[in-house]
Amino acid sequence: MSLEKYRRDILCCTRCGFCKVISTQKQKSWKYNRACPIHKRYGFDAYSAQGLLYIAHEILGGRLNYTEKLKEIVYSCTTCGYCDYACKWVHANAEVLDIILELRAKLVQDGVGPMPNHKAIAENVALHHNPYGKPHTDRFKWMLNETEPSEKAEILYFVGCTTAYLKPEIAKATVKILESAGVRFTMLGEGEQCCGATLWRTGQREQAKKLMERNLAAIKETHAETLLVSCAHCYGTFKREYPKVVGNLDFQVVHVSELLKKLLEEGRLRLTRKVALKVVYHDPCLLGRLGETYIPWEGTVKMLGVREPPKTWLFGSKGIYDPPREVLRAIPGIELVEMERTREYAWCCGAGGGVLEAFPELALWTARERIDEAKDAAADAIVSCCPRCAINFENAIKHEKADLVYYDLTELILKSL
Amino acid sequence: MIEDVVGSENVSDDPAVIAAYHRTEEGPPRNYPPAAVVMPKTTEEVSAVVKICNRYKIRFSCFVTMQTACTEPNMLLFDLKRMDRIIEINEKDMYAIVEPGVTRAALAVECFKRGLQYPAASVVGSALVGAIAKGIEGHGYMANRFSDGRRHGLAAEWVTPTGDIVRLGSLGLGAGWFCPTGPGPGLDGLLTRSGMGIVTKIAVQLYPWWGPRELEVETLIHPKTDAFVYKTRLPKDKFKLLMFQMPGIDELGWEASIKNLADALYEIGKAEVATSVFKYFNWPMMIESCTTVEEAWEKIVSGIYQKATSRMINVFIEACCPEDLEYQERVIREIISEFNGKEAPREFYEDGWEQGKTLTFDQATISILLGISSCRVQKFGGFVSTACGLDSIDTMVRWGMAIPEIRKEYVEKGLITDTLDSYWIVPTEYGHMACTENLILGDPTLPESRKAMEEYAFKMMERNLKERFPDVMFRFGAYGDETVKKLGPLYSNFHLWQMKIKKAFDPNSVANPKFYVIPEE
Amino acid sequence: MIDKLAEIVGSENVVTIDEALEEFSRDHSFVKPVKPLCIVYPKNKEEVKRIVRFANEHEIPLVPVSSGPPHLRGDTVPREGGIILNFSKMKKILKIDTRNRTVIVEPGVTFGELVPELEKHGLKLNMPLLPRASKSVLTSYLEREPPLMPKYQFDYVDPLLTMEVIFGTGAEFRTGTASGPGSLEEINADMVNPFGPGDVKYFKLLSGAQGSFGIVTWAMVKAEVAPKARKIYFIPFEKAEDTIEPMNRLLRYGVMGSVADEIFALNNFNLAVILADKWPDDFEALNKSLAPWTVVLCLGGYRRAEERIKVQEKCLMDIAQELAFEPTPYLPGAPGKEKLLMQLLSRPWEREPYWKLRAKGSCAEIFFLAPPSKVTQFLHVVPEVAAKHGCDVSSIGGYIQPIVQGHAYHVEFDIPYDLSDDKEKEIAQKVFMEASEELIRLGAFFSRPYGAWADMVYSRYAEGTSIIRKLKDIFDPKHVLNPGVLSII
Repeated sequence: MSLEKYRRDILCCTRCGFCKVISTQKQKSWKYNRACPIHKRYGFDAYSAQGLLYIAHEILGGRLNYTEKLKEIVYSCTTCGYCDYACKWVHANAEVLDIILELRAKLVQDGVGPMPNHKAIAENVALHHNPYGKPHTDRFKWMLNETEPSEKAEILYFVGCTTAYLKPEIAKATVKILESAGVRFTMLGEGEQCCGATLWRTGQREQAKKLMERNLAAIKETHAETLLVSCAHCYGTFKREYPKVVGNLDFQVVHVSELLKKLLEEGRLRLTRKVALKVVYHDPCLLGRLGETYIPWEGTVKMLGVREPPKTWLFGSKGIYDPPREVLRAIPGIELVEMERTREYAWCCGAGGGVLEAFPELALWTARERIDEAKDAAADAIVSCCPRCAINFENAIKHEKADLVYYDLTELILKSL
Repeated sequence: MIEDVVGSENVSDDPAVIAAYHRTEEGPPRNYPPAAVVMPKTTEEVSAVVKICNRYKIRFSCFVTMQTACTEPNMLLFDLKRMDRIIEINEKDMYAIVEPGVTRAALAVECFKRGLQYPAASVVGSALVGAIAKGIEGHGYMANRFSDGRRHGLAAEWVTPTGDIVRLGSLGLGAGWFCPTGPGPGLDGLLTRSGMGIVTKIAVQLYPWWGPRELEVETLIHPKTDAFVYKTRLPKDKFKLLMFQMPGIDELGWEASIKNLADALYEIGKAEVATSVFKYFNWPMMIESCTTVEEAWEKIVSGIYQKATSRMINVFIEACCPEDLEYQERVIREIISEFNGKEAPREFYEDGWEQGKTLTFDQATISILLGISSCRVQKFGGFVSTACGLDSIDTMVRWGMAIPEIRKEYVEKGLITDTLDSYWIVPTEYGHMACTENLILGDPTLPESRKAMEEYAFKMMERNLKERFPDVMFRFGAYGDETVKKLGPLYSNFHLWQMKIKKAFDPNSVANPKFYVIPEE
Repeated sequence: MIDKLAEIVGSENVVTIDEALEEFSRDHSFVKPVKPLCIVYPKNKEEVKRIVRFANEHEIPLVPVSSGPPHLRGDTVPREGGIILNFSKMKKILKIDTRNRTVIVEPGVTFGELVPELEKHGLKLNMPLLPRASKSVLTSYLEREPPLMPKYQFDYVDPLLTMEVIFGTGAEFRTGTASGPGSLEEINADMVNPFGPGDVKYFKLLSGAQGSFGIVTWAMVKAEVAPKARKIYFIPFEKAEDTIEPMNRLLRYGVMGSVADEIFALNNFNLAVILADKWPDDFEALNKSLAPWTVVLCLGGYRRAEERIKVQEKCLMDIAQELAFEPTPYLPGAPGKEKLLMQLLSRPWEREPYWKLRAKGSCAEIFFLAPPSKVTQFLHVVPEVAAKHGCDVSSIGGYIQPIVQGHAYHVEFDIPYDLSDDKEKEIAQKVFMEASEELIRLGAFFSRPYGAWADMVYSRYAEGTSIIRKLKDIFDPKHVLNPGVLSII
């Protein structure tokens, strides 16, 4: 892959502005009509998919030199993929997010990127198999006193670094739920390493690739048919990025919310305790609009951008939007209300794309925007399915001193069991 | 100094920032990279920066949606998106006061909540309302009933090219925002795109809305492509979209068929019905209903759209009550029938989407209401437009007669797409006027196709001049001082007056002079 | 000078008779009389150009007059002497275009001449309320007189379209798509687009300028389809304030957003003046019997005319029910006058004297614009000021006209007075000045600053004044066109 491959896609940008604002029909107010966090935050058009595509165009043409500012612009994007969905809804002939990721890869390749904190992540992953630099041996500390996984099972629960190290309560809740429903699962244990999300998204392709290959082999060894994740970041990475590197996965990737839905439908989970809360559900980017299986395409691009053979575009429509909502509605006492920007056009939490590490102030600002939206929906709590969203929202709630609580979906289920 | 005014984070000359405001392929005379971009927040900041430009003779321009804006090198570009407040929506007086960074869709949505509507032009919903102040109105789909942006601007707050803050219209006398014209001469006649400074606030005329305060939008998934398709549900007893097939090119020939269609448009205008009525260009209409480029291409190649839509009239009725709707529909059907038209088959509506035959889903409705079609027709990555200045329906018809001949060679060489009839006619003000535009569909990413599209457009312009059609400069302003000086004598020497006006109001020649006319020394 | 002018227009078209000069030195406004040097009657554009150039060479003011008397607003009184340019001989109806519903007229074409011509073609004008028959159509629209049918008015300059104008330099110019390319014969357009050419909207600059930027030698205005069926309704009210909300609503509802074609409100005085046949008996009876205020609205039917009227009636009743008013096809206080009124509304005022002068022979008009939310705040001012000065308030005419599709209102009070009675005149003038000042202070928008209003308005609008002066220096650098009429130029 190279940026050059996207030259034509880049030229298709007509500056329509839809990567920056909510799809027209879905706008409900002036207050929440913006879609791109960096564009709203910084104002200059460079901070948007359109801007990044124009920058890519100039770089390809040899007309733009690398500067600190350029690097900052390229890396401030949370890679939430709103622009990808919006542009395809309008145009359907450009892979906008892939172009942005490719641009980052080029910066790394040319020795310019990534940001220093991203390099630190790479070092941590290399040494400790997680981005946080915490000891690998502590990865499963949360499992003390918890159910032991089976040696072998159809379901392999992939915990993920952020959950394991920073939000272990999610893992604990997940495991308890599985136990309660009588679901057998296995885990990689010490064999589990970072899924590679942040490495990939910050353009550190070489290392990410090696990690992905290694993970794939480890998963294969377990003969599990289903990879269960409770982290949206892991989910989106396995589904959308892994196939680009390692080809088709020969296992299913399932998010815990999908499994929860199934278990509820089968009556294997009984939620009897009331949880009296008015909640909004935040759609994590990598579970929703970026939660589809990547479909490779090879062929020719003809006049007008017509692909031959026809390309299957990922519009984001097969992402996971409803299962978490259905699960929430099944919890007695929960009142689910919606924020204005939701589902495929949800506002990003701000933590993705390495932004949490490189630009914490931006990540916080982005999350605070979302907190305001939750408050405007008169919610008591904001619920989601991603530990990175969790960290960022909890930080924002603290900063705002908001009268709001964050819950992971699994935590609420646990409360109701 | 500019940093002192707006803050260092709101002005930049970094090449990476600049890159987003300019594209190399779109060359002179209208597209240069700015030297710096500034994003003011208030009128006072705009005024202060303009004064700095005057002091140091820095030429400036103002950014507008979808168009790059620097007509010469080393300009300062104002990006007004931080000025994005809807200051007031006055329900009683039916206007909204907006800053130039407000997008059309955001305003429309807020208006619906208050029982009002803002009749957007076809330009995208992401486009800036403030464009109205610049005279960029786009074609109003609903111009039959509401006219278009040309008429909608009310009182304004204006930073002149010398940096003075002027209040125009009723605002100037502290009488509020409702009237743009007066006292005495209509000074709002001076407002135009950046050649005459920057409008920092403007009131825009709104109209009654009898629909839901919040649009009900259903999300569907396309059965073949899995794309999102948003269907807006409007009450059926007050809103109706109708598509009519008039006798086509195959039946009557190019000329007779378009004249017949024009006759029908005139009658509809005279009957004073139909909020929106227009002859649509067929390939953009087809695009409205497609979710992928491949789907659109299939339809182009099949010929179905060319044949079935060669002469179509779209009508959108907004009624205050069911009786109103029924009456308007009866009148429209009567007129259509008089001119031998018939309603398009049901499958052209949303009923046909599974068979791939639909022409609309509800996109036509929502394009009409919120103006998003312009970006949807970008699906192929761009088009080149050629047009005639606004005038009568008949003038638009005569203008369009050249299309088959001029496009022929480019279609035969495969440089542009054979979409047959790609021009539309939008009647305005009960058919008193109309505008048109011909969208040339080629592949702008392929140099030979791009060249062909531009040549085609140029030939239309030349032919405009030769056959004395009103030039598109009415719509887009001057093409640059050299062209304008050449054409000016043909148009009552307007360029001389424009030069004098320019000199009087922009003595230091800093306000985007090349997009206006540079005063002779 | 007279000889030179005679060379241009012919000696029979230059008048220096004192009596005639006296007539043009004054009008019914309070503008100080100034006698012109002569009256010149050009017959065509070329003569106008030559006169303008002549005026430039000799720095002689020109005051364009297109309408016959009476003149009420002071715009035809030469502030600084000079030549009256009387267009009564430029009276060609140059073109009636039934397909595009436009008409091109020279400045001397009056409503009395044009309306019956248009009727023959099944067309109507969006007329102001009962203009005198000798009123110039071109001037009426150029000066933005409020028309009776707000639904046709898309902005404040509508229905004025393209124009040919001779600027103060003597240069010829045409606006909009009349500007070119090429000569009028060559232009491949119907010339209906008023905007431009280029970036400036000249037609807006010329509108409301009272002839101080250029002299319009022809103008195209919109005509509309004459209805196939009409029905008139009346809604009586006790107070002026009560007329506003019903009119607001009736312009936001109905087929294409307007129940009515013509819609306006008159007080009993004005309505009685208009309807009275024998004077003063009929007038006095009507003045007593008519409701203090009456909203008048005409429903019009085009295609499927009766059906349309039926729908409009239904819409009218919907609003009536909601706002608890009672529209009636009979004129309350004057049953039987309905047909007469409908006829009157389609025609200019053909009787003598002009209806505004019927009561006392002269009249001071006070009019301004206001948005719907603020109209009622201004309605008390003129009556209060009049009462303060001992005027009989019941003898003041009132007229409220919604314009621009209901986005604003033209509010007018007509104060009749006897010109030959100095005391009455003095009081009328005091009321005029004081009420005007007070209204401006309260925020009423005097968008057409005639006579003394020019000073009142521009003294409060320095930024606008500076712009108008710049434009004046461009279009009329020698300041020959109606100097002083806008007080600042």
